[in-house]
Order: sequence, then structure tokens, then C-alpha cells
Amino acid sequence: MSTVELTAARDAAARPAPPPGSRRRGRRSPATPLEKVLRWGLRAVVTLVLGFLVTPIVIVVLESFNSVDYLSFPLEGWSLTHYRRFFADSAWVDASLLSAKIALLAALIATVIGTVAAWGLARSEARGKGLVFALLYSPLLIPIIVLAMSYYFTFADLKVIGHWQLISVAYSVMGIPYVLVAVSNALQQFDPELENAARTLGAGMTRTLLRITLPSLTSAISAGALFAFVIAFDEAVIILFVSGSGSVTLPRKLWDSVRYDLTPTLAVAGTILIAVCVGLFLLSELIKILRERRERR
Amino acid sequence: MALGLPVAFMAIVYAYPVGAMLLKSFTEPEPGFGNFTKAFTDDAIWDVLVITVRLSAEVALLTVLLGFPVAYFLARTSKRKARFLVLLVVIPFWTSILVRSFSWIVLLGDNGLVTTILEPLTGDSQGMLYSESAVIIAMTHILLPFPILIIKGTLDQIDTSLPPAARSLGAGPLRAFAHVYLPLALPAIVSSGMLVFVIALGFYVTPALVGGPKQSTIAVVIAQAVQVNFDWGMAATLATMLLVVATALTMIVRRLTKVKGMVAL
Repeated sequence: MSTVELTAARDAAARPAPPPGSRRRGRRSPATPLEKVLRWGLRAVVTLVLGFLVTPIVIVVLESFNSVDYLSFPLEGWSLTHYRRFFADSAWVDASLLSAKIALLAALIATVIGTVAAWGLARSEARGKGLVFALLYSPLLIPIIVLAMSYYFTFADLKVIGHWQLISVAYSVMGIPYVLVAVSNALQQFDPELENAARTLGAGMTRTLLRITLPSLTSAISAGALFAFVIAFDEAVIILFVSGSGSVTLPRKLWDSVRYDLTPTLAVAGTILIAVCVGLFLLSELIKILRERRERR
Repeated sequence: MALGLPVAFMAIVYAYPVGAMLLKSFTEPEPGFGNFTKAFTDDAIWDVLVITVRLSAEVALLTVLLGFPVAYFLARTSKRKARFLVLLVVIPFWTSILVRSFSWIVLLGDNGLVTTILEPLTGDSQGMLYSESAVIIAMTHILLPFPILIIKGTLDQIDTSLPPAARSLGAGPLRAFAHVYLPLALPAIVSSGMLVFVIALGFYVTPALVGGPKQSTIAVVIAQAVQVNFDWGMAATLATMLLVVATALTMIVRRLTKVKGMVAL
């Protein structure tokens, strides 16, 4: 089929342009039996694959409500025993709090560095821009076990294994790409003339930044910060090497316990990790939707 | 200049540790290429490399095969439905890899859900945990969202009037799909498969938890070198090899297509 033919036919097929969103199945042309079979086959495959994706998540959440002391499916009965046990055990609670603390500091650092970098890259004309972007973005592409080795050797050489603030710093590196991309995308839509206008009207550089530029970036910055927090909150490879005995985070504790004994209490830890990360992800989606609504008005 | 702070920060807390690690592969325990000669002449290491590459290739193939139909469906269904169904892909994506691996231990273990369902078929009440199939299933589950979201992103941009156009010129539904739709989707399919392959090469948590000693991937062996053998030089050497291969493949993927980061998903 030649391109010309195809283009002409496409125009012909597109002519009675259906109003967007109201495209009804079967309206365009009557479906042949083969098409019907293909359509149902596709639906079956998609249902199975989506089921495959969701089942393991659902299982962890369900198991956390199991009433017996071992993992079983179907559940023996519903109870909150394991939640009580989890919150009564200071080792689990401390690990959860430590994870939150480390992730909070990591997100803070990543947000500051990532935002400054995005702003600098957007305003700079320097030739090394591409290189700087690559440096800031590359933690996303580097295998985590390689990062884990790098931090393990450095922490061991400096004798700082187990220092939670330094673990936060290492984690912030993994969060920076997310903040950088989120804020860079927002800056592309931001009109630099607004900054110039503020400057001509007599606002200083700091004031322009604080009153004009930053407010229009808040949703991008908060989305980036949420991603950075999530990355740090459930990181489970680097921590195996740098936690020592002093910084047992929730993923580290879960890892140790999985290899030792499988109980529904682990499913509670898993459910908490899922709830925090998925909850924050949904929050960032909500922020995005709200912003889109506001912009449309 | 505003870029000074981020660059200085990255140089100290990122480039320095990675650089020091790379250096260790040439200096620990003694200067020279000894570690690399040792790695390349050791049969056990070769076995590990073969297993790692084979596992990653199988997972890449499976994720693309399973992911494409879903991406195709999501790109062609109504916006509202797609938005809901994408959540079913993204929520597992944001769930910790550790938690998902833990879930597969439960599902594939003795008396696990999968084992129970399969028992009438296989007559086997033993789980398939600590086998190659277990690692492949769990890793496919973990990496499947990548091809789905990347391919969907490309399919969303394909002109929806093209297949009907081909149909009106007399092509059957299969021919219209194979000759018009598929070629446009191919770059995304190939690059997402390669991306999964690269990520799978460096996987640690899943093979370590769900696999047995025969499924030791390069990452598992790196961890063992440090934690069991205290052989920093070998750990650094294998990590350097992994980094070089992963970087090269990533650059090829980026040349092939403009798949931009995971953030835009």
C-alpha cells in the first residue's frame, strides 16, 4: 500500500469526523465475525494480564488480615491481630519511623537540588548543559546494585556505615532525576516574560523568584518531592549494605524477616509500604488533576 | 551561577562514590587488570553471566508479549476507561519491589495460591519457589508496567484513522494491523524490551529471594562477593562490568527512540 493511497484513504475515512469521546463501537463499520473473535480474544488477554498485575498486591493486603499465625489462602478468618502485633513491636515501629525520617530528609534534599538544577538549566545558555543534565539524570539509569556497591565502599572507607543522615543523602541522589524532570517540564510551560515583567516593574531577583516563578511551580515541585520520598521510603538494595546495625529501615527489617520466618506480620509491613507509596502516588495524581482543572478555567 | 550547587553536590555524593568504586576494580587487592583476568577465566562467573543474560532476555520477551495487547487495548478504549485501567498498571508499578517479591514467595510457595490452583493439573503439591520459573514469573510481574506504559505512550500518538483507512482500501483486519499499525509501534516495542532487559540485568532483590543458588544473577554474586567472601576487588569488577554493559545498552535504546525517562509516564 503506498503512502499516497493511504493518506487519501485516511482523509476519506476521517471525513465524517466523530465528535471526540462519543466514538461508539460498531458505528463505523459492521464488525466481521473475525473482528468479533479478535476483539473478544484481546479482552480476555487484557483481563488476564491486568489480573496478573494486581493479584500479588491484593494478596499481600488480604494476608495482613489473616487470623492465624501462618500465611494461608483462602484466609482462615479475618482479624486485626497482626496489626496489633506490628504496632506493639517496637522493632517494627522504630523501623517504620526511621524510614519516614530518612525519606523526608532525602526528599527535602532532592527537591532543593533538583529544583535549583531545573531552574539553572532552563535559564542557562552554557554549552555544558547537556552534560549537566546527564549527570543529574543518570542515577535513574544506573543499576541499583552498582550504586549500592559505590555507597557501601565509600561508607566503609569513611567508617560511616549506619549514619541515617548520610543514607538520606545517598537516597536524595536517586530522587533528583524525578524532581528535575517534573520541574523542567513545568518550566517549559512557564513564560519567562513574566519574570522580565516583574523585574521591569522593580522587583529584585529574589523577590521575582519567590513571588512569580516559584508559585507557578508548586505542583511540579510537590509531585517531584513525593516521588523522591517514595523512592527513599521503599528502597531495599542500598540499605542492605549501608544500614549496619543502627539504621534498620522498614524494607531492611522486612528483608531480614522474609528470609527468617514467613508470618502475616510481614504482610502488615508490606501493606504499610503499599499504602504509603500508592497513597502518595494517588495524591500526586490528584494534584495534577486539580492543576489541570484550574488551568482550564 | 545556579548550576554550581547541583553540580558540586552530585560530584561529591554521587560521582565520587561511583568513581571510587570503579577505581577499586583496578586497585583491589593490588593494582592492575588482575580482577578482570580472573573474572573472565573463571567458569563459575561465566555461568553467572549466561544465566543473567538468559533470564533477562526471557523476561524482556515475556513483558513485551504480555504488555503489547494491554497497551493496544488501553490506547484504543475510551479515555475514561483507560484512565481507570492505567491505575491497575501504575499501582503495582509504585509498589516496592521487595513487597512484590514477598508476595510471589507466598503465591508460589508450598500451599500457595498458584500451587493450589495448579495442583490438579500437575499433581504436584510442592511449590515452584527457588526455581528459574519462579524468578521469571516474579520479574515479569515487576517489569511488565514498563512496556505497557511506554508502548501505550507511542500508540496514543498513532493516527486512529489509519487502520480504518487501510481497511477501506481492502485490507483485512489482520493485514491492516500487521502492515499499518505494527510498523508504527515497532520502535516502542523494541526499545521497551531493551529497557526491560537492561533493568533485569542488574536485578538483585527478586533473584535473591525467589530464586535458588542456580538462579544466581550477577547482582547476587556481587552481593555475595562483598558479604560472604569480603572480596571487594571482585565485587567492584563485576559491578564495573555491569555498569559498562548497562550504560552501552541504555545509550543504544536512547539512540533508537526518544523514550524519555520514567517520570513522564
